[in-house]
Amino acid sequence: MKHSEYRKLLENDKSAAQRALFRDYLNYVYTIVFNRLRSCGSREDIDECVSDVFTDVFASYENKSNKTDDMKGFILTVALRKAAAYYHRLCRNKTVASLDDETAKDVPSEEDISVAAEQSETRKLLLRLIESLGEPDATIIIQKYYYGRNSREISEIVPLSPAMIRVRSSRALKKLRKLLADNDISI
Amino acid sequence: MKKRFDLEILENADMNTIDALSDKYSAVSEAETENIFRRVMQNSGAADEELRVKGVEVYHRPVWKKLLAAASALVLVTGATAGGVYLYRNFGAETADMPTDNAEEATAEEHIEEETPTEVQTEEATEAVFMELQLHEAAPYAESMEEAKAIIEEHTTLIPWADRHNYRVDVKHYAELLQCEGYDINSLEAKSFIYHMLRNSFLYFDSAVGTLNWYINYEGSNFYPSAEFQIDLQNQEGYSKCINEDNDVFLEFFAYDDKIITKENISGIYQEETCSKAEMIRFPEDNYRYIEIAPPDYGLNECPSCSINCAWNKVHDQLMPEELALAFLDNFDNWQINGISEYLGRTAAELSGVYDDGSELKMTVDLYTGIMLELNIENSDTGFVDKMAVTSLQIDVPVERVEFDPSGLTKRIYTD
Repeated sequence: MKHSEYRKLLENDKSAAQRALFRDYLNYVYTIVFNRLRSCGSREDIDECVSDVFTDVFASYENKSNKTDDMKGFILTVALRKAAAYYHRLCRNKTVASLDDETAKDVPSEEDISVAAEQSETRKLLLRLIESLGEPDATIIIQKYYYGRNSREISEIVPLSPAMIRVRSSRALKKLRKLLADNDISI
Repeated sequence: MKKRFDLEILENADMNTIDALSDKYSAVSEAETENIFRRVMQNSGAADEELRVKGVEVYHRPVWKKLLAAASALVLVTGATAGGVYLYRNFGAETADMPTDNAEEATAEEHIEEETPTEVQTEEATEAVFMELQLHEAAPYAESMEEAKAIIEEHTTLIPWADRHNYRVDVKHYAELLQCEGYDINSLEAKSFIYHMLRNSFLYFDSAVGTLNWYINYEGSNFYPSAEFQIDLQNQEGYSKCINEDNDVFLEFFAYDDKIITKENISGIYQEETCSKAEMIRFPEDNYRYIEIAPPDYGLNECPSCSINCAWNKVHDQLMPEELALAFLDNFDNWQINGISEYLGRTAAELSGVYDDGSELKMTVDLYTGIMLELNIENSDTGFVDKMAVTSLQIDVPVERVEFDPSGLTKRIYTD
């Protein structure tokens, strides 16, 4: 959905416009927020952050302060900032080095950049291997081992009974482990 | 200790990874979507008109209204929604590995020969005729979905529902054998019998009336809703009602006259689905109901009782636990029979085991019907708990139909 389309819809039916925008971008926003807060936030924290993102986006368009037509880019920016803010708030009591801290690392060395690049390649390959399991097993693996959902929750997304999801996830995992081993990926 | 598998490597990823995840996979369920949207609206100070149910509504998706009773809300999120998924799965929704929809059956019927047991029952016969118990074997393996379907077809008969009793094994013989002193109740024969009963319970009773309860953990609180049921399996009709801990009936399920009606008492909404009675059912041999397949597909499951839809999902799981048995007991190395006992006045086998993911399993099975009387699954690593128990049961008693009255209720209509 483009900004101009959204504006038009907003003028006619605000509620429908907001719901449409929400539906279009929820998966995207949730993925971004979850990816950032997975290690330190609860499901409740993530839901709260996601809802804050949309509250800010809606407010921004209502205030007409937002004029960019790149809706996705704008929502991405809001989501990343909000997730970062939540991350720092949730990790406040943990041992975290701030960039302002004198003990913080200097500019990352070339070694760190190459590690990051290697990680990026590994993630790409991992996702390809998961995808090669086919559906619905790929979805079950992602839902269970990335999003941390149990079989009953997964059965609301994948049309199988919780019992069958447990069977399939166990078998899918065995297959994935073999694929990972064949590709020298250790998780 | 083996480290639990985790995809934490995908955390804090680059945008390419995030884009790939968001493009290919749903991050939230429908229920979560509505919850988050409700929160956004509350944050924005929007009125509740957005969420109000108004008259005969046309929904693009079902919207579960927030309910007063947490247990009721929980059933709508986990019970009825999951039940809805279960219903759609059985009522003709296509899935890759369940060839029980009409298109599959229409093709399969061309290749299936109708068979009867090898010994013919005549009016003069005084002895009952039984099928031979198949000793359990590991699932056959196929290289492709087509090959798997062909394997199942070779070992499947189409049987009239009204004649399904002809396909029973000699239950009395095996039940008595398992109670004989000195008999190894963990022999392959004994475990094959129990597994057969669980997967074929629909052969062994014509009606069931009773109650059951189950456990739910929702937002950190434990709930124990219950259900009353009366199922006329012979005619594939039934009625179930679900009751929360405040003794409120929050869900009712009616199955008769080729339709399924689910009534949500709190919201006053009902939905109706067409579901024809199965006059014939596909009946694969026990050892050919699940076929392992090479990737990317690697499992094909044929479930005869899945075509019988006269019981609400939790009731179905207990009375016809075929899929649960496949899920947890197909690997005979994972479980054992601990003994034969009495449960609700019925002779039952007590099973226990450890599932592939480390979950501890306990199950109580009615020896004469295959009905699952009790199930407990707990995983101390993940905190997963699943508990269900039948709390009263009468078998093969007369059942009177309970008819649905739509007065004062709103019918839910779906659009795609």
